[in-house]
Amino acid sequence: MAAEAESLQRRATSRMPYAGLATHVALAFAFVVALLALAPGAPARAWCRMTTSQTPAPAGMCPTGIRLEWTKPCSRYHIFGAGSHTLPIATVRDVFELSFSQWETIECGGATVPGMPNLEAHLSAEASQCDRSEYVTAGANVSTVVFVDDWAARDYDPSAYAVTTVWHSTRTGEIFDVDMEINEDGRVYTECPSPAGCADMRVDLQNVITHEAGHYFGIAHTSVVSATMFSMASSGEIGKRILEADDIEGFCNVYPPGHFDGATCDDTPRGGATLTCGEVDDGCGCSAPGAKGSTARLGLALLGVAVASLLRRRARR
Amino acid sequence: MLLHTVRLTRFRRMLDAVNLRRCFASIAALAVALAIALPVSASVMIALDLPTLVQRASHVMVVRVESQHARWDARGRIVTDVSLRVEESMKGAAAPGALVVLERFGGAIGDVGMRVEGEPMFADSSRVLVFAVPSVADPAHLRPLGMAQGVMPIRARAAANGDDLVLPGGDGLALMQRVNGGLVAAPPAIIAPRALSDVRDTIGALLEARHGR
Repeated sequence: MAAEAESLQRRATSRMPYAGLATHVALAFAFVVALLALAPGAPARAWCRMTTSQTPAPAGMCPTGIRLEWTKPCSRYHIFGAGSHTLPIATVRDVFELSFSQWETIECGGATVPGMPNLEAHLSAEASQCDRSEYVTAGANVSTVVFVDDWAARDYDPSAYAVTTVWHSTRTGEIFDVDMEINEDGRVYTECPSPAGCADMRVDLQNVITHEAGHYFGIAHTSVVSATMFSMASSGEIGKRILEADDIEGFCNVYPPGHFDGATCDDTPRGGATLTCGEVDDGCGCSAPGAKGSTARLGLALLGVAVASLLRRRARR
Repeated sequence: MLLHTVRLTRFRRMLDAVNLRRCFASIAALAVALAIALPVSASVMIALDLPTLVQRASHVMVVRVESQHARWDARGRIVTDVSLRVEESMKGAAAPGALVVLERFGGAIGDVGMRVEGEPMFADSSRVLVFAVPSVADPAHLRPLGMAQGVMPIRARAAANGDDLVLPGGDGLALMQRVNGGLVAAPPAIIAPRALSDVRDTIGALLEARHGR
């Protein structure tokens, strides 16, 4: 819609003697298009899927590349330590369960096989001991949720409420691991009353986590960076706790009912489960955490070969 | 007669300009109204308007993307170093022709990709208007201010007057603002494509006002 309005505006202003009239026509047309987009049931599509692409999406379109998705029905995530600094861990767990269940219990009406996608993200009872986002290519992993008070030291933007990192295969789009870091540096999270929301400076945690849970499942955002992309959802501070039709459509498109039929529910992370981070700094300033598990194992293997070789030489003597 | 015609033409141009301004203003108002509603799946962030971007950025530049290189950082994340050739510097020490490196989260190394929704992405050889700050971990590198809000693509000579056009930034972000303590949806710094010369003038005026000139 923005592109159409822009195109109309360009055409209108290029014919200067009639520019005034043309501008009004363009304006009227833009309003009509905007109102149509706002009308209930308008077929506007605001969702996109996250992809492997590392370049910007074409204007007004979803990103190209291979789409990111979980290839098994069950996954597991852990909350780091005691969770939030301002909310009891029991409350934090409740909020996460509620936020993720918004997505897990979607009813895909109108799909070929109506029902739920049967995709489950299990919140583990065990606390994560890894306080950062990482993925180990040749070792055990943990999907971790961290409430962060050293936000700036991590080079994240102070304006952001949360950052969700989706680790994936560049070949297939399979989601390997997802980590969520929540900015608690100067922010106070709470459960705002419904439907009024919070009137103070506190932030509704469920509002933020429901957003981020979408990323956990590989759902992205429209590439249309203009007002038109905002046309299909609700407003208000706690409105985003509830998914809108567009989100449901996007989710059901990625994970239609029956998608995981016959698959075993095994939530073990790729490479095995752990609660701790891998090593990061190998002392040379050129660390490669993705390979850190394999680096350690390679070192041990080389040591083993060296010892075996030494023992064999001694045995020959 | 000639004078009269010139005056008439000027008057018509003024009217056109007024109409154009009205058109922009109306579209802006419409966009703000639409922005009250918000999609669910995006990184949640406080919206930064143009004055805030100009004020907080250490560097405001028109740059061209020269190359990109992904690497692991000291915290175990994949980051991509984007080498940018400065074409025009509106704020900051980088001179035109200089090469600066901007770091963004995400990238691909071998079979492993890392994606953070709301971080800007760059096409090789593309031109962008960048609002950047020094990285905390490595002050020699820059970080985009406000994630994708600080990177606005430039479309060559696409404005009505043949000028380059600056497109809105903020791709992949759910922008919010505080209203009476609560969070409500907010528009990006520029809500519709604007001529680069217009954006340049606005930034110049903001910088002048800030310096009290």
